[in-house]
Amino acid sequence: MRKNNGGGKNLKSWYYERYKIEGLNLDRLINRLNKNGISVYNVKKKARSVIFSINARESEKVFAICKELCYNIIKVNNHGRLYPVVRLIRNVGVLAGVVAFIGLQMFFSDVCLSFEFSGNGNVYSREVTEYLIANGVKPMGRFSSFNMQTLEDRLLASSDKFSFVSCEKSGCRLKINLVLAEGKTGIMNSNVTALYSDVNGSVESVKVYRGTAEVDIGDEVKKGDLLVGGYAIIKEEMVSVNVLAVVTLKVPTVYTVILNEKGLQERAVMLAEEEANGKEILDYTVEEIPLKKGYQYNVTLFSRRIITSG
Amino acid sequence: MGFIDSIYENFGVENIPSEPVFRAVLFGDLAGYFENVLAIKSFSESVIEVRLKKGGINIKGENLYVKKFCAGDLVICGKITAVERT
Repeated sequence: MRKNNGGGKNLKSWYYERYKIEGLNLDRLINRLNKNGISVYNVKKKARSVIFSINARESEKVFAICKELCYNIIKVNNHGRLYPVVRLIRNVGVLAGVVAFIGLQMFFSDVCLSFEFSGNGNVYSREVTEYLIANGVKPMGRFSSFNMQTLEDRLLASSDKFSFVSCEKSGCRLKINLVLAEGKTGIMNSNVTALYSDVNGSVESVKVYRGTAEVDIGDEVKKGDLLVGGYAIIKEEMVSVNVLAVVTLKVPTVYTVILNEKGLQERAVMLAEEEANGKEILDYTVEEIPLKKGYQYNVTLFSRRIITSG
Repeated sequence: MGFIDSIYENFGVENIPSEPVFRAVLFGDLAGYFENVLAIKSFSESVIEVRLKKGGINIKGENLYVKKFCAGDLVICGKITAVERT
């Protein structure tokens, strides 16, 4: 393995080298070093050897003198308060790696990768996720962009279903504990006789557990349209039932953006998405209309609306 | 006037030589600092023989070692019990 002893004389003056010299008449050696302007430190005699330290930049001179006087010279170690710094400078790759690791770790520890729900209120995890995204808290967002306490208060205030909400950061996940209020069972309300749409849109999915679907996937519905009827055909007989169903609608919302130039559809979509305030966008269309001065872009953003019977 | 010169004057020391003279400063039982040392004749844990421009000195003690020796300045650490002129 290559020994990294580079760095020049400037770095060498920052630390000391310790040597063990074996031979006869070691006192002469100390005087010889001193005559050549080499300072020696911590000189200790042991049997037929002497151990001392010198400034690292003088090591070549020491080697030359010891060879000339026929001493055996053994390097014991390097030392000094600044020696760790010298090692880091000589191994810049290690230093760069450590700095990069710390930087990346700090960066990624602030990224929220996913949500995790717990508590008996987690049946409403989908609604809570929609709420969070609508309020700027989304996967791949940053923990530092929102306040945990404020988020808890807002979640609690957003719905009377919960009696307690707690949010905490766990690694790269946002853990949300939802506790239902008294009287809220966390299951769908089974006393619904029919399910109606409260927005205009197109049907994306229909899940009926009880009742009869009046719409199919792809159907266009308007506000007030019947989605699921409160009846079932059992042995050719129509029986009244309470509706238990979930219908997902794709809801278009039109935003108007006025820009100066032609061909700025992407910009118009970006501006419209900012207006949409964090809603999850499934798809979009853009219509460009020339005006007397500038161009009007009608951006239609499609978002998801979940309607449940409970 | 230097610090040492003012001490000479206060104690009435006369005929101070112009060339550098040997000086020793002892720090209790811990260390000793010696100026204008020419060379170390021999050293061990109990005795360190030092050569000066005129004569020499023996530094006796226990667990002695040379802390620093550079350009005529010598620092000895350990328990110094005696400094004798030779």
